[in-house]
Amino acid sequence: MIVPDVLEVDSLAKRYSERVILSDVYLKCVTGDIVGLFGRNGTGKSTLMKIVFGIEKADNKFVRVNDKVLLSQSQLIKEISYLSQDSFLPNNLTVLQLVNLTLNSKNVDSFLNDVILTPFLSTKVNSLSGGELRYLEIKLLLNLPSRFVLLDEPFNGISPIIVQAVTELIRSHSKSKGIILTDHDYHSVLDVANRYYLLSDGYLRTISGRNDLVRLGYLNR
Amino acid sequence: MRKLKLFSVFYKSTLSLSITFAALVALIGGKLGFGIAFMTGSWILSLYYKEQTRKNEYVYYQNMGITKSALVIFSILLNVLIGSFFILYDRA
Repeated sequence: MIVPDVLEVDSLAKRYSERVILSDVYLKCVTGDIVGLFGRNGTGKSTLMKIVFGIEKADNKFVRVNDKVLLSQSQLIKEISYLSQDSFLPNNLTVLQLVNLTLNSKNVDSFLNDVILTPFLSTKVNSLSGGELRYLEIKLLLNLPSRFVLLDEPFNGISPIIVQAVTELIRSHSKSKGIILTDHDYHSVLDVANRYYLLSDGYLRTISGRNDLVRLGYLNR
Repeated sequence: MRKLKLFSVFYKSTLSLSITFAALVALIGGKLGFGIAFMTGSWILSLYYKEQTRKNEYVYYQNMGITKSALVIFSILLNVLIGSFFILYDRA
């Protein structure tokens, strides 16, 4: 039996001058989890992800993987992958060059056996459409050996067919990883996630689904 | 090996601006000027340009396990090494 990996974020606090963004946040994600993180604009969802990935400083934080506290950025990025809101792939490479650079050679063939990517293998990354680029970024990250993946707005600006493909990718990779995602496309998040949190007024609350989103004021009805 | 390739891809992405700047300085200062410019202003300019225009690319390398500071230090050291070669070559 495979023992699941556990990511815990504890006592996380962040303020910008006098404004408290994140207050004593605790978040847990286990292999198999797809954690949906909701919150209005400016509530600190992206900040939370950047802090967990180690590219933004917090006033206080503990990030543990399997009870080991990860202190440095180099420790964090070994265990965690991160999809930023903005595209991040080196844009002077073709899709094929990028896939070869990113993945182990044994994984390349199965990765490229994909109807969405096949027509673009010799296309430079900077010539891909927004949806194709987002799909490539998400698929690459999910195929890295990290145990946890943070996805900041994976469904932003992509067509329904790609949304469906991304949802399937997330589901299939959650068998071997823990995934935390946030997106304003709350239908897709509710659909794909199996646990939910709502971030508001600096506090992270566990919620059970759509009814709590209405009750706590994230949705009108 | 993969990490070396990643460092190399990053470094190549800074080279065009580095070389252009050093080549302009070389019009006045010759090989010595090229070497000094490559060791100093070239990397400052190219990393500043990267920071202003393609800052988010660092996230790719971080996802591959390489920190931003490692990339920056690697680029500076390589520029200093190449610049030194041109300075020594000029004096030889």
